[in-house]
Amino acid sequence: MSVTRNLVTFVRRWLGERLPMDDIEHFVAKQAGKPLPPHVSWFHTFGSLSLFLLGNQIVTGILLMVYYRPTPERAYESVHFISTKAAFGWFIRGLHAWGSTLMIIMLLLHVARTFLMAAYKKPRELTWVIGVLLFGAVVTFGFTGYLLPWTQVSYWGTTIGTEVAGSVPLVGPFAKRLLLGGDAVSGETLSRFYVVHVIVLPWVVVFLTAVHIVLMRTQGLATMDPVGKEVIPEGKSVIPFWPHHVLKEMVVFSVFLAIMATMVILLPQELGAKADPLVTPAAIKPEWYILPGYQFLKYFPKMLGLAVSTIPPLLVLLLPFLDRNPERRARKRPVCITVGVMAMAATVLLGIAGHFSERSVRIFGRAYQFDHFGIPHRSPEAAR
Amino acid sequence: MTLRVSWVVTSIVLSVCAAVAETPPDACVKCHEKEAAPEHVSVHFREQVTCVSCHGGDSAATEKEKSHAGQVRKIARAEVPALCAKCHSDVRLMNPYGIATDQFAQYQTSRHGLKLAEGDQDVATCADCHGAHGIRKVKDPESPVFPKNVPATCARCHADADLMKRHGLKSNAPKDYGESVHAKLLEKGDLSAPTCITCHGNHGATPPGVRDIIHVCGKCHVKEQELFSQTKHFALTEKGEFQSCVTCHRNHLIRTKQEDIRKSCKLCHGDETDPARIRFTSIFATIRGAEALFQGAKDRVQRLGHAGIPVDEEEALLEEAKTGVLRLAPMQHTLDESKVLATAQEAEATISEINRRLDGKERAESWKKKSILPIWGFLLGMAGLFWLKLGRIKKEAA
Repeated sequence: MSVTRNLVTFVRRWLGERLPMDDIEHFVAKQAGKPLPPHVSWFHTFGSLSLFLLGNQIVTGILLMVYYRPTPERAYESVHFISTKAAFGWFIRGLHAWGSTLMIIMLLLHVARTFLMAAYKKPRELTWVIGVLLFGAVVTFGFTGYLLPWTQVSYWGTTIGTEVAGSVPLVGPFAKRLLLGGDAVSGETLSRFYVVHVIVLPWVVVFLTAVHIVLMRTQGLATMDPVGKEVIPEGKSVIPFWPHHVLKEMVVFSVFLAIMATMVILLPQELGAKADPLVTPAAIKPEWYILPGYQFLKYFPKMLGLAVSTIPPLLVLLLPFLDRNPERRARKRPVCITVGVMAMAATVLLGIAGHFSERSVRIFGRAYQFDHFGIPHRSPEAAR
Repeated sequence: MTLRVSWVVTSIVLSVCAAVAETPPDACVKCHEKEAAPEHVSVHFREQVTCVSCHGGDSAATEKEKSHAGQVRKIARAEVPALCAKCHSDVRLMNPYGIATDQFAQYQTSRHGLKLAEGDQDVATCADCHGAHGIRKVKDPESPVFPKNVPATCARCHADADLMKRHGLKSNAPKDYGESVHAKLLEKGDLSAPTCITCHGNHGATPPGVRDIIHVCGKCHVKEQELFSQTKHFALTEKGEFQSCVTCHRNHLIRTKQEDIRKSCKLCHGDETDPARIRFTSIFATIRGAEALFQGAKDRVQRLGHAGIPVDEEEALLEEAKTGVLRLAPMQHTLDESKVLATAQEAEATISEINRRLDGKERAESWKKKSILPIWGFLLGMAGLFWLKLGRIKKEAA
């Protein structure tokens, strides 16, 4: 024990002779002891869980890069090698693949919590805007990473995604060529997506996350007081960040990690068949988080759909500037909460419609055929 | 200025060259535009075989009387083969192009040629299949005799019910062929798939006789022919009492499905106590069983491979098993139950080995599922400790 203490003393003295250790210790102590408002609950761990998942994606992504080869000839084979032969490759890949899905879920929950508790209001508008941009970057992460295994599903899913981008008026054809590096998904596309996925987006996300956290720590967590009447938490009702909230997060992390490991083991991410540009699979669909937007576009004529589909993300981005109600408690902002909850429900319904569209499903023993718009019809087979 | 003049002159020269290159270089074009139009794609035109080469006359003359002087004529159907043969039977002329010179000789022995010699004007001559003007190379995908176009070319006459009736022939052959396995292969783009001319010949087109059918089919189905030659059916074929391959597979509408073949077998072996019937039932069951086992193993290898289990060795074994299963199809032509069974057992042994290995790999993978327990134990233990610590701190603070 004394050896450890002596080592710590030595390191402190050594660093103290070179760095302003007192200032650093003061800064760390101030951050650790920062009081949190009394309403801070388990729901406030979604943000730190997202940060944890970002770390997971970076670490597992680096490990996957050791064996991954971003060429059409080798991509599928290298992922197959990772999944079948590399030591614990299946686990690392599972953590990365499930991590991306769970990260989007966590971010959505974090956004929903921030919306319901109105934590986006003045003076935290910038924190919200950066958070929304972060969400966009993470979805782009998912979209670019989806192609990398070079499977049938990823190849044709990317084809659909880039077709949507290509249908934007004026800039669409240019944007599509820029994304694809040609007229169709090819080795050029794979190279581009790989570079964006492993170099461009990580820096963007790390930078935005850093700014998001600095803003959050500087302004502190929002209380439930109306805008302009916020009371700085003090006294016995406040919750210290350290150790109270950190311990709470550790409990959540432990349970979350156990659930994640279980998903990786029991629900392995199957690789599927290798991409074949000459064989189009039936009813190919994009990833679940793009599905609501993809389904939404089906209900409008092409140009109008693209114009209309830009409105919801813009509304979300500009929410702090549109919602001028100073109140934060949900019951005192009924209009905003009602619209928000309806939008969330509509997104879920669009996702469900997108999932079932163009599929035959048996419900309570009856066969239904879901059409292009996700509307169920009694299957002719069942009618016979 | 000089530059501009040279540009104009160059343009004019190039335009003239292009015009000259795309139209027959004689005066016939002035009046015979319709015939001349397709000539720019003709292999003859490119080799300086022009209108006068076949029709006679003087292509240099610009007036009708002078250009038609001599022996200008519309070529009669009966004259076409001999006219074409003037060049196509000439070894010196054809040798540089690597074209056979026995086509006319073959044609004369063909049913078409024989009928033409008898004065039948309905039969096909060279121009009916290759075209008269605008003749393309056989390798040209737009040529009527390009492999993929051959069935449609033959069908122009052989699907004509009236024409066929006049000659006492059936007109359903093209339709039947269209539904055969051969046509399906051709549709997929396999240019080596048999078309009409593969069995009937092209220039020497004639239906093969009963005894020849096995040799015609055997050109591609070598193993089947070899094994069939050892059977009782072959002996009957030699006597002219059995139509070899076409008895079971039919001629144009080639069938390979087991249920279709079984129907053919029953035509002769209808009695359930017939030993032959018992034998072919057993052979079919053996083949079906082996194919089902193979398909099951194939699906399993694919499923486990996609699930992240290394199956490279099993995939190699699967190829071996596939070879064994593929050998069963020719083997059934022996009509020997024991030989088919032995071949099936070889394939089944490989399939069993695949399944045994996969069982082992699936068992080995079960440790992953078992590892969930210690993971949960550790992480939930940690969560519990953090929870207890949090509770104690709250208690102390209170």
